[in-house]
Amino acid sequence: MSDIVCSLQDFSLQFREDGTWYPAVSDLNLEIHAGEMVALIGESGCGKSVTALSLMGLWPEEARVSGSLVMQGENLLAMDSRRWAEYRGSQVSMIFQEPMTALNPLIKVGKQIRENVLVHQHVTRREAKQQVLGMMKQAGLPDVEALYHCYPHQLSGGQRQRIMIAMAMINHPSLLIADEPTTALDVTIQAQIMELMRQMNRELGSAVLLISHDLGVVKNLCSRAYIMYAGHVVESGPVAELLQNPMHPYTRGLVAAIPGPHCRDQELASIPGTVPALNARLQIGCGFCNRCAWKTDICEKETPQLKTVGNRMVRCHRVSEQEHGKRSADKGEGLEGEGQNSAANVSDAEIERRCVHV
Amino acid sequence: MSKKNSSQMAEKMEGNESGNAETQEPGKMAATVPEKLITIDHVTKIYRDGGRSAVKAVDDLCLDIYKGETLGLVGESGCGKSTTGNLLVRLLQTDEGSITYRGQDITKMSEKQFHPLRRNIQMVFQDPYSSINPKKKIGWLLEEPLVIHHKKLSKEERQEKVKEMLRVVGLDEEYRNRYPRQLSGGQRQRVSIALALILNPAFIVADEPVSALDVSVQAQILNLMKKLQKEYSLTYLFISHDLNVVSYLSDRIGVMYLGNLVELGSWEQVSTRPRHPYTQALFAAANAEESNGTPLLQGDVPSPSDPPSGCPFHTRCPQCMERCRREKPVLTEIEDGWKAACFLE
Amino acid sequence: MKKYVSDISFCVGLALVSIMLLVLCVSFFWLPCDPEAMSGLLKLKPPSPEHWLGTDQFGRDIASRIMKGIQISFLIGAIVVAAGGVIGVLLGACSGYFGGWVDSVIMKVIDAQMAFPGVLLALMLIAVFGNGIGNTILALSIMSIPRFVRISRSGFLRLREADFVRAEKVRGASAPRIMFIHILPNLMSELAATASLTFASAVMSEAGLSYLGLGITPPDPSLGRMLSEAQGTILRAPWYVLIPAGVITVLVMGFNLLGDGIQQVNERR
Repeated sequence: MSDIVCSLQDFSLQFREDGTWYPAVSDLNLEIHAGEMVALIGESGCGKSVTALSLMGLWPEEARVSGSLVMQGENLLAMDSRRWAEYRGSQVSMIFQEPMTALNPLIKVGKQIRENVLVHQHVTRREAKQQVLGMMKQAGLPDVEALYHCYPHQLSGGQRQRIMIAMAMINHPSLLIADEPTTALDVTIQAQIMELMRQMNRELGSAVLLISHDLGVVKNLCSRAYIMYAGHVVESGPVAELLQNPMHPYTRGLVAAIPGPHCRDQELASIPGTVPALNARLQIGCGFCNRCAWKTDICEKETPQLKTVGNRMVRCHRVSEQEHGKRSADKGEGLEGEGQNSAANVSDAEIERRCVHV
Repeated sequence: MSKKNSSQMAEKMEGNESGNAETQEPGKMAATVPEKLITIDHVTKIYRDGGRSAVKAVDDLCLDIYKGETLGLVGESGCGKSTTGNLLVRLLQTDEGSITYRGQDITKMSEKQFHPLRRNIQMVFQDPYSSINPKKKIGWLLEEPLVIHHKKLSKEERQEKVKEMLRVVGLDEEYRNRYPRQLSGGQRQRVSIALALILNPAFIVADEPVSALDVSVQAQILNLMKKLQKEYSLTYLFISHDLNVVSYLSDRIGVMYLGNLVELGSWEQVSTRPRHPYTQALFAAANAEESNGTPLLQGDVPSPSDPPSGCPFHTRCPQCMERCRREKPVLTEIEDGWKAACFLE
Repeated sequence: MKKYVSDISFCVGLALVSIMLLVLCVSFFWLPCDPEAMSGLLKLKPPSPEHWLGTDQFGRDIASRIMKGIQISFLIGAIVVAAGGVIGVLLGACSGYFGGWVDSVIMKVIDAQMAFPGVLLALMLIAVFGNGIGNTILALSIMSIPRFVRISRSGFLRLREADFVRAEKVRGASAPRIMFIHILPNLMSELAATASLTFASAVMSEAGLSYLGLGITPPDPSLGRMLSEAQGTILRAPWYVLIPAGVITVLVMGFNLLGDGIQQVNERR
């Protein structure tokens, strides 16, 4: 029990729009163990970024939050602003998609990192600088003495993200939240940053919560993943299993939608429609049912609960332990492609074949 | 009624299909040699910043695009792939070299001479949010290219065509009366495709058309583009940084680095047996766990305003030799149609 | 529209302008008295049932003259905004969209004009061509051009590289089509704010010029001229000063608040 760094129980977050409260995140249960790399996967608007920001205490003012957010035994919802200031940057820190916007353009990068040390540790400026230089070196930056005195615009995108990582790790937080850390970077730089994150996790032991829409990145970095759709976790479990044998129709759709040379001769399986806007979400029934090929009557009437299937959790009426076992025989039932022109049913075998290439 | 309408319309939209027939020599249809639609010949584009610094965004590029194919252009940001796309639709002017479309040099034309050709060469933009005028209804926007290029069409005929186009890209007719802000990203990108397609182009430059979209929507758009290519015998230049997308859609792949084409070949050759060290690194980075043997590419892309001497890739190349620092390798043929710019070949 | 209604200065401005517009509309059909009828017996009478707002030193009905004066103010404001707006937007559009030497030439001229104080320019024009309503409008229109040029230039400069404009170029749209059918509607809210502020300053400048005896010539009633006529009798007939001053204030404040409101909402977006 003690090795749980962070746990969210029945966490819900609602936004107000025209006098009505709409759930951006509903009944989220999430646990992160020490030193673990966990992913939160989903498309834009699914609530993954709001969840991450909530762990930093940065939910928007007009939002309503309920449930429990516990970080190392401490209830975040009961914290006052002074405690938040101590907590942010020392116990939890965050890196963002676009490092240029997260850095102050008018302050030298070294000073920006040092500021983080001085706020949270009782050390002299000289000691702080030594720490910063050490961390910059550890973050794979060359010639740190010179870079210390650079302004953000003088650095490349990859270097800036390394600076962000150094800044986030300088106080050895127990949890690092990485919100799409590689999305804005080029492919070859992306690989470098992923390697750096893996190395930092290994050397400093901080747990990592990776927010991403990119299944490839997740597969490379994380051991466990939560998949979110329209504010709900729809499936969770070990990444390799999730991607090899996705159970929830949404996860299956996501996996099958990834293009690549292996499926050139066929149409890509796509999920019809789009993620519903916040105020268009169904209040009852399964949030995915209007895009789902497996839909039955019960899906419209009742919100499915997360159920345990093996070492995984799935939120779907149609998935049960028994069904899961025999589903591989039942190949007709798959996801439908888009529109009438593509009845591209994706069989389990097909999904497995594609997953190899994720 | 509607059939009659559409046949009349086809007559009035004096166009591309008949144009095709003229340029095709008899008997060439049967030949195995594919027809060159576009030839990019030693094209250079230099961005000048008030005379102080000059950036070679595209450096001596030679590339043929064949009729009916999808040519994928990949590379990292600043490699010149988008500039190449903009040169083809004449959003930018070439500084050196020529671009020929069906034998006509479009770089030497005046805007007026090029105007009739515009309907054959269209473009789909990356960001579906910024590439559609927010103040106009979808129907109005779709009608506009017809107003500009097919003055003979009556209002009813134009609207008929707009409805047809919306159906083709998988949107309801009723979307004519909506404003762009009422549409989702995927729906907007469908509108963008309809806008490019409504003039019956032969060639479409697609500049990162799916990179702003979510994965599940991305698949819808890719399927649509593939379907339309078949139905309208389109030729695509597909510009993307996403190797998965490019190797799914492209027949041939060109890899660019710092304004230079470093490798060009069929998708199979380039994606499964890349020859240039940069291409190898690119594909290795995309399939990270298969790359355990391949060393990660170190360092950053050099600044395009101060490119390295010799081979542009030598500063990051794991197999750099003495010669690479001095001399710039040229694109040489390895096998039939497969080229790479590297001294290792 | 909903966004504008939630802005307080927009609402107050709109209310003030509406009141003035209402008075304007009424004045076209009905005036309490003939605004130019004089009477030796009724000099400087305080408000009464016959003359709601009293009479001036020639015995003319102030209420009627104020209503006529509002007509003149609106006429001048509207023509100045229309003329300055059309010319200013045209110049600004060419300047921002084409750039290069077109931009340099237009901006040099505009800068030169702006370096010259507006009131001095108006005084000079009036000194050369004489006063009167036509010359006042001409002078104020010329003064209002630079504002529109600057606003529209920055808008066109910003949007000429927008993706949707590039997309239009690829589809073969001509430059005038792109400028006026595609870019201009996207700048309407910014231009509306400028128009409202320009309207307010035109009303203000007209009152100022007329006060100095350089704007509207008698017998046309003008709010500014009434003010200057009233100042000699300020102790004997304070209402005669307060009423035109109040009307000018409401008119100018109304349009200024309206313009500010639109600007604030635009910036918030």
